[in-house]
Amino acid sequence: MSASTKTTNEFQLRFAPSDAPQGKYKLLELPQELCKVVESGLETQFTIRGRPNDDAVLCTASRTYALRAVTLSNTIVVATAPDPATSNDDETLELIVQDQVSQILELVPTVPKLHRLDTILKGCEYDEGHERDDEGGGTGDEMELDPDEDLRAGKRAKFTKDSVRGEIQASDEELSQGFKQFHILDIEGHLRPLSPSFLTQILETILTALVSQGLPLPPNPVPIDRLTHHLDLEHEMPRLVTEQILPWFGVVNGNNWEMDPTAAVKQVGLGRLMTYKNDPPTIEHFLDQWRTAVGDVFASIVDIALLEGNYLLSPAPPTQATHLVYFPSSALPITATALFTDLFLTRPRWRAVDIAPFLGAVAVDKKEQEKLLMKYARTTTDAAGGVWYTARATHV
Amino acid sequence: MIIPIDLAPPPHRRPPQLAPVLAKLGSDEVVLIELQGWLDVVEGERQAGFIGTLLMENDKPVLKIGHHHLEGKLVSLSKPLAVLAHASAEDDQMDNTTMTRYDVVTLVKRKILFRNRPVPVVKRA
Repeated sequence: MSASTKTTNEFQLRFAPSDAPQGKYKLLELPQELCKVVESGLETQFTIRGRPNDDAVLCTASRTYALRAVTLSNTIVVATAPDPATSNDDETLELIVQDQVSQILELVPTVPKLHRLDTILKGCEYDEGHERDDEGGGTGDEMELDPDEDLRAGKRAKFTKDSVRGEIQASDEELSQGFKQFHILDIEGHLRPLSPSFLTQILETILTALVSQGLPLPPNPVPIDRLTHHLDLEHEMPRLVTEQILPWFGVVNGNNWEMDPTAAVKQVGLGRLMTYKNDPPTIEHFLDQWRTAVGDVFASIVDIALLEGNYLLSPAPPTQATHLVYFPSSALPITATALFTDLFLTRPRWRAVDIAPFLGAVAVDKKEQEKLLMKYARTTTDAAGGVWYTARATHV
Repeated sequence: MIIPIDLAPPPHRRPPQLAPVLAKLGSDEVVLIELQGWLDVVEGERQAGFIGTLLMENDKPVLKIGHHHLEGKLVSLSKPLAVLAHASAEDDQMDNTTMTRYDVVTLVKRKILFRNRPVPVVKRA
């Protein structure tokens, strides 16, 4: 057949030259929002993150997606124009089969898996008394507070923000949020979780200092230099720590701190509740102590609802509650089956409003929550018309 | 570990441009053809081997492979597919560890689907 009988509507399908790598191509299905990201050029890179044994996730700058391989019943041939380097005559009339795939990768939005931060950074906590071993001025002549501290410090593996990126299955933005959420300090490049007790102490000191030092009260911005100077001088709370805490509880603009009093009061409550881990207080006693700790100016913000997801009322509803039990959702399992097992072991039945605060790790939104409740719980309605969730026997 | 997926690789890491007629069936660089079964040669060499002919007949794509005559259609994908090509890191590392990397070479929004049973090609008398 001579070349002249070929029309531009006819193409020869050929295999690639044998030195072309096999299995090189993968097809990734993109949800709407990611399509836009790729086409707009707003981001230049996605990353797949995790340890070799993890289920893979794909991260954009701000979101995390679970990566799932779906097997197809058909085959998809991936074909391209021929490589000009291996050009033949009429090369434009060829279509080269580069690969044949029988799987498509799907992306499902997922909650970022930040829990590992806790495990990785164990032993790196920054507590009261650590100020001395982190201040750069040490001449080596300083007495260590504790001879073992040296040993512990040496054994403590140090993590930087960069070194955790490959370990934590979360996007960079979610990771930053995580550092904020878990109160992780950056001390000379190393990640150090601030101990809750020290944080509570610092916050209580800040709240009382605002009043005692005649500093502006929210919503007026607080001058940061005056505040941190006072904390350093009068309370030996180093600036490099206090300066990092302020943005966790408000907005920092230059030398101004626009405090979020609710967030600060909430953290004080949480820190105090943690100390009652083995000895549940009465609700009244706890609220009184909490109000005293934050001072008159901020006492009106104190509200048990601020601690949602971190406590249980005892006795359980519908009985009138008298005590508070520390029950942090952060200590619960992050896989749905284990989580529901734990929750139903803690209480045999739950109302939707009481169980919802503990489902954050497994449900991205309310819709997901409802789906999970349908899957892992059975609903019953009591005489008063209230809906209760109980365990399904089958999944145990 | 982190496996980067480059969303805008330079032209030398992307396939060459397709002829406009073909680009209409896929994207500028890649055509996706969905088949029942798969393409293979039973004997002889596969290397750069000829498989068959793809042509348009009455605005419909047709694939002729050996005795098979497949009629297909152009289908829009409900979710576009990013075509990822596997690559190793270029040697900008001091150590010799090769890092896995992917390039998004193109975004494809349609595919050619051959769903019908192959019809044997019969020589006209």
